Amino acid sequence: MEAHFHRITITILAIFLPILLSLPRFIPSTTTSRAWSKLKSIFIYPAAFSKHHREPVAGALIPTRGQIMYIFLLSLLNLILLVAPYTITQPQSSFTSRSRQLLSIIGNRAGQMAMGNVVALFLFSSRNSILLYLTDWSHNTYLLLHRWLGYWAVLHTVIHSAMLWSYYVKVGTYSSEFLRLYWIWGIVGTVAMCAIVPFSLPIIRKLFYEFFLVSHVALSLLFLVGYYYHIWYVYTYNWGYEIWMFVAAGIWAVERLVRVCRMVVRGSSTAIVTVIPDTDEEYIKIEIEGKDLKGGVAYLCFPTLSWRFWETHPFSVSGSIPHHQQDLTHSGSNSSSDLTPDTDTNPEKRASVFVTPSSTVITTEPHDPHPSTIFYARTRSGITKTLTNKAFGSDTKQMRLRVLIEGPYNHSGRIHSQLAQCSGILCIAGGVGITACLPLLKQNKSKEIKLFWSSRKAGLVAELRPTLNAFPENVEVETLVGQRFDVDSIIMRELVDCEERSKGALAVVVSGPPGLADDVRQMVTRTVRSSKRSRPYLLVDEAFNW
Amino acid sequence: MVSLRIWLTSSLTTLQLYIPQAHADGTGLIGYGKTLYNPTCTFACRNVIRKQTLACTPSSSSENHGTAHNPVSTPPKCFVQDHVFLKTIALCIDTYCTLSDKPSAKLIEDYWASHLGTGTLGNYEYVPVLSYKDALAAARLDEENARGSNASSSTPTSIPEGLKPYKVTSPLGVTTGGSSALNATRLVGPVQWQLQYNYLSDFETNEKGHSTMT
Repeated sequence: MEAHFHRITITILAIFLPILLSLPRFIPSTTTSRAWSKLKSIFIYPAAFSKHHREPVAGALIPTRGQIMYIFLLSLLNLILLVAPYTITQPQSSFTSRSRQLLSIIGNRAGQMAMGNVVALFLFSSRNSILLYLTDWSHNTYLLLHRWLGYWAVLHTVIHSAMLWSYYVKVGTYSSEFLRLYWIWGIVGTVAMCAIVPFSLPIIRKLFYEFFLVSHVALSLLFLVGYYYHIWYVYTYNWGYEIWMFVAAGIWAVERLVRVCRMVVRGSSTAIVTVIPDTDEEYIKIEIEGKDLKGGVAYLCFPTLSWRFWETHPFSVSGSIPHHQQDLTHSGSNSSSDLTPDTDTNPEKRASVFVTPSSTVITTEPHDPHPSTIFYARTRSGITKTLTNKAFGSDTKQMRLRVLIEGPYNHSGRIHSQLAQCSGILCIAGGVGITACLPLLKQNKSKEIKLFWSSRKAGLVAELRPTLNAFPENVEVETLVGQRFDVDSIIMRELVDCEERSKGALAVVVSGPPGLADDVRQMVTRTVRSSKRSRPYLLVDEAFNW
Repeated sequence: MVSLRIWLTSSLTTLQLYIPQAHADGTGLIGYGKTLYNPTCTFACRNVIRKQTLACTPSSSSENHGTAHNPVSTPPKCFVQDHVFLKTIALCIDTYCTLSDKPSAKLIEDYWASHLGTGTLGNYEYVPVLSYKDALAAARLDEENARGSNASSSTPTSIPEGLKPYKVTSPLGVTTGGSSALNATRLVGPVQWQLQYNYLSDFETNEKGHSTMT
C-alpha cells in the first residue's frame, strides 16, 4: 500500500491548512509585533463585511476575514477540482459521446468529493478534535467551517445524484437502474444529506436546539449508512470507496467514545442548583461538590432531570472554591473596597442575607478538603429553564441532583503561548459571560488586568462581588448594572492612550452577548488600523451562546 | 440496536482492511494502493471477447458472471479451462501489449494468474490450465498452420472517426467480440481492442483523479 495520501487534496488540505495557518504563533515575536497586529486587524479579525460576526444578519452568520479566506480557498478548490482535470479519449467502447462521458466522470467526481468534505467536516464538529490541540483556532471557528464544508458536501451530493440520473436517462437504462438496491440506498443517502440543511437552519437551532441535535446525528448517520450500502451493492469492498465512510464513521465513533471516557473518568457528582436572588429568576448557580475544575467549558449531563438522560450541555467553568469560602467571602464583601459606585450595597446586602442552608452546613466543616466547581448560567429555554423552574419551586430556592461532567475542554484554541507574551489583559464581559473571564483573571497574576463587566441584573453582580473582591491587586474591576460601558473609549484608552510602562502586547478578551462581542471586535480592529501608536494585541472572543 | 450492529461490523471490517493480505488489485483507494486495470492492454483484450460463448459456456443458465451493465454468461472456471479463449488472449496480449503499455513479463504473468476467470476484480482461485507461455506458443502454432492452409481471411471493419488502431493482422483472422461463439483461435480486432483500451485507460485515469482531488 503506497503512502501517497498527502495527495488527497480536499480532505488533506481542509484538515492541514488550519495547522499550517496556526504556526505563526510559534514565531517568538509575532504577538508583540505591531506590524503583525496591524495585519491581523486588516486581514484576520474583522467581520468579512458589515460589523457583525457573532450576531446573525438575515439569519446567517458572517465569517471573519480570516475565516472567509479559508472558506474562499476551500470553495475555490471544491469548484475547480470538480470541473477539472479529466482525461477524455473518444471514440471508445463505453461512453458513446464526449458529453455522456463528461456527465459520468464529473458526476462520479462530485460523489467522491462530497465524501472528502464529509470526512473533514466530521472532524471539525468534534469536541475532541485533534485540531483543537494543534491550532489556535477556536471551536466556534471550526463549527462555522463545519457548516461551510457541509454546504459543499450537500452540493456535491446533489450534483452526483443529478448528473448520474441524467446520464442513465440519456443512456436509456434509468428505469432498470432505479430498481437496483445501490440506487435506492443512494437516494436514501442524498435525501438524508439534503434534509440536514432545513433541520439545521439558525432558527431551528435557536428555537428547538435539542431537536436540531437529535435530527443532526440521526440524519448524518443515516447518510453514512445510505452511502455504505450505495457502495456495497455495486462494489462491496472491491474498490476502496467504502474507506471514506469508514474514516468518517471512525472519527465519529472515536469522538463519542472519548466523550464517554472523559465522563467516566470524572465520575458522578452532586450538583446544587441555586436560583440567584434579585435576578428575576434569570440566573442560576450550579455548584458541583468535590470537583476542582480550573477553567474552560464543561459539558454537564443531568441524567435525572428529564427523559432525555443522554443530553449534555456546555457551561463555562467559573472556577473552583473550597467549600467554606462561600461564607467567608460573603461576610467580607461589605468591608472590602468597592470599585463600582453604580452598584450600591443594597443588592449585596440582600445577597448576604440569603445564606442558603447548604452553605451554612458547609461552614461547619471548615477543613473540608474537597473544593467545589462553580458554574453560572443564564436561564433560557431548554435545560436551564427546567433547572431554574425546579430549583425555584423548592422552598430553599435550590435543588440537589446528580450530574455527570464531561470535560473541561479548551474551546478557545491553543492561545497560551500568545497570552503568555501579553503584558496586560483587558476583559470586557457582559452578563453571564463573566464566567469565562474569571479563570483567566485568576491564572495571570503577573499581568496588568482590567475587567469591565456590565450586567443587566444587580443580583448577578452581588453574587459575584465576593469573587471579584478576592482578586489580587493586579486586577482592576469595574462593574455596571443595567447600562453598558462605553466600549469605544475603553478600547481607545487601553490600546492607544495608555501610559508608557504598559506598552507590551494586550490581550483583549470579550465574553458576552453577540452585540457586545461585535462592538469590541469592530472597535479594536478599527482602532489598531487607524492608529499609529497602538499596542500590539490579541483578540479572544469567548463565545458563550453557541 | 441496528446502529450498534452496524458499528460493530464496520469496526471489524475496518480492522480487516489493515490486516495485510494478498490482493490482486492492491488495497486502498484507486490510485493509492489499488489499481483498476493494471496493465490496461491485457484488460482490453479480455473485455472484447468476454461476452462470446465458449465450448464450456452453459446454454441454459442465465446466471450473470459480469456486472449489471455488462452481463457475462461464461463462468470463471470455464474461462480458465477453455484452450481457445486462453490462446486468443495470449495472442492478443503478445500483439498489443508490446505496442502499447509494454508491461513486464512478471506483470503479465500476474494478470494471467489472477484475472482471466473473473475480469476486472482479480482472483487467484481460478488457475488457467495453460501457462501464458504455453498458450502463446500454441497460438503461434495455430498461426503457422493457418498460414499454410489459407491466406489471411480478414474482413475489413469500418474504423470509427478519430480512432487510430494499430495495423496488425494474423492469418487466423480477427474476432470483433460480440456474443457470437469463439470456437477457434483468433486475433482480437484492432478497432475493438483500441475502443476498449481508450475506455479503460480513461476510466482508471479519471478514477485516480477522483481520489487525488478528493
